[in-house]
Amino acid sequence: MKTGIFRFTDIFCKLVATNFYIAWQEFTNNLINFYIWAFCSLVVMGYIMQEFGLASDYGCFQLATVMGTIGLFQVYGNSFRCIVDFEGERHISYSLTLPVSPSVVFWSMITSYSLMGIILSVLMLPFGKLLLFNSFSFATVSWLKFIIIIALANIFYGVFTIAITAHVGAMSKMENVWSRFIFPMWFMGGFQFSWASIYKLSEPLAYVLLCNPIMFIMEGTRAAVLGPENCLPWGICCIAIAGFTIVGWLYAKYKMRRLLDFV
Amino acid sequence: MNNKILLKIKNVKKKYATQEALKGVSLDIYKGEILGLLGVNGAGKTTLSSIIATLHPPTEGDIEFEGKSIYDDVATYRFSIGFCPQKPNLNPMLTLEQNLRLSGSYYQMTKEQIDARLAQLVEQFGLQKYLSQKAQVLSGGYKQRFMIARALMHNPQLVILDEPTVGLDPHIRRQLWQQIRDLKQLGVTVILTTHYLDEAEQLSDRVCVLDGGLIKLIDTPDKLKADFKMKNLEDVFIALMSEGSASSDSGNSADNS
Repeated sequence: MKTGIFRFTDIFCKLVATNFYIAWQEFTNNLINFYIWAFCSLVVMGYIMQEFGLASDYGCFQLATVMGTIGLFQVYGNSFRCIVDFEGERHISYSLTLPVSPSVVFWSMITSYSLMGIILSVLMLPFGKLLLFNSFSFATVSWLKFIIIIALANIFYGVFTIAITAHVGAMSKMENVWSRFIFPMWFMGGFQFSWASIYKLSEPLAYVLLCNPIMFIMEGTRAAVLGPENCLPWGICCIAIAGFTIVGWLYAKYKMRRLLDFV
Repeated sequence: MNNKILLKIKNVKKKYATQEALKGVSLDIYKGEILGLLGVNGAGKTTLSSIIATLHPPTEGDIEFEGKSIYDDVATYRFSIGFCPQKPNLNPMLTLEQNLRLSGSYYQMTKEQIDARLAQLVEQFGLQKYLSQKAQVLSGGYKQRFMIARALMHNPQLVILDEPTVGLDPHIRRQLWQQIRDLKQLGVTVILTTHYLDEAEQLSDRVCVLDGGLIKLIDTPDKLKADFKMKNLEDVFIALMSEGSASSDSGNSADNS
């Protein structure tokens, strides 16, 4: 029998595989949903809005942010499923009595959410190229930076899912998740504007917006996909996302312990 | 049952925000025995069994397993226990066979061990028909059988069954009783939380009656019947509960006077 870290790793991998296998059953459905969303977003911003004076490269700008946002849009669904379980069959109780620490159980959930987010985000890239065609060139993409920022972003979204689930704690409060957390974070997180443009408009507001982790995800993704010009430095974005992930995890663990009262 | 203590519960208390579910429970559980945990709703049965199963921590107190505190190494202790909670919580997205196989793999069983154990449990609990289906299709009785089978998958020394027969048809209850007796034959220690006094009487070597978060009484069913001069455990339980409410009533009236 494996002991210590090997046992934990073994069980962690099995939990991730199980969660991923379950999530995979919904993969095609999710992919279609996100393709519809990306299609609408890129056609409107990349073609239609140009008739109203929007810059000709705005479609590319939007594609980068769409890829950075996929994971955020999965937070609600994943959090909803967790709450349904907590208030229903409580399959989580079984996981929390397995011979591993609760952190292993939660990180297995975070990892499977992240993997799914990474796959869906990466699959947006060829789809975006297909839609924007000559407006978007793969030559500007720094692949290593792109993979790193998408991985970091989706790990953050995984942690955010657990944190938001623990914070909300009940189905009756789920309607708050979109309007109080996801929508403002997304809409004020540089989905449609760059940090540099806000900085020109109002410096204090620009600094306030740096409290929003989504801003770093958007800027970092754009820096990786479109090049570093007019973006926050990619390295700073990575460090900031990692910092938000650590803080989010500490909060998630504290609130989850209070919610589920585990050993 | 022998006299070797498997589990020693030492002054376990559990406080929630608005109530104290356990007010200091101390209890020894012997190797190979079936211990029935009885009590009215809110007595603390489920709280105690979920603390023993390490689903929740106690607010105060300790539990020793074979002489060592379980909280020194919870993960290792969990290899020795199987927990079947009151509410079936099989993974609804997996087939029942996948549920059982995964359970074995989480407890570090090899594929060969899982195959052998699965075949044994499928035969013992008559599960063959539903193995390839998902949990939603099962009736309550079969769900419960799968839950018990999952708890037993890794051959635990101690099995905690929290109201395993609630809501089941009488003949299915009887079948489950026999399966619980079979566990005892195999040397497994069983903590059986139940509302059914006939069940506790039929199965338990000792019964522990909880009331208001405290142990009111603990003994063998025969000894209790003899002491209370009653024919069955149900009568003993009713006498015990009315004794409790009478004393609390007189206590209240004394306070008021």
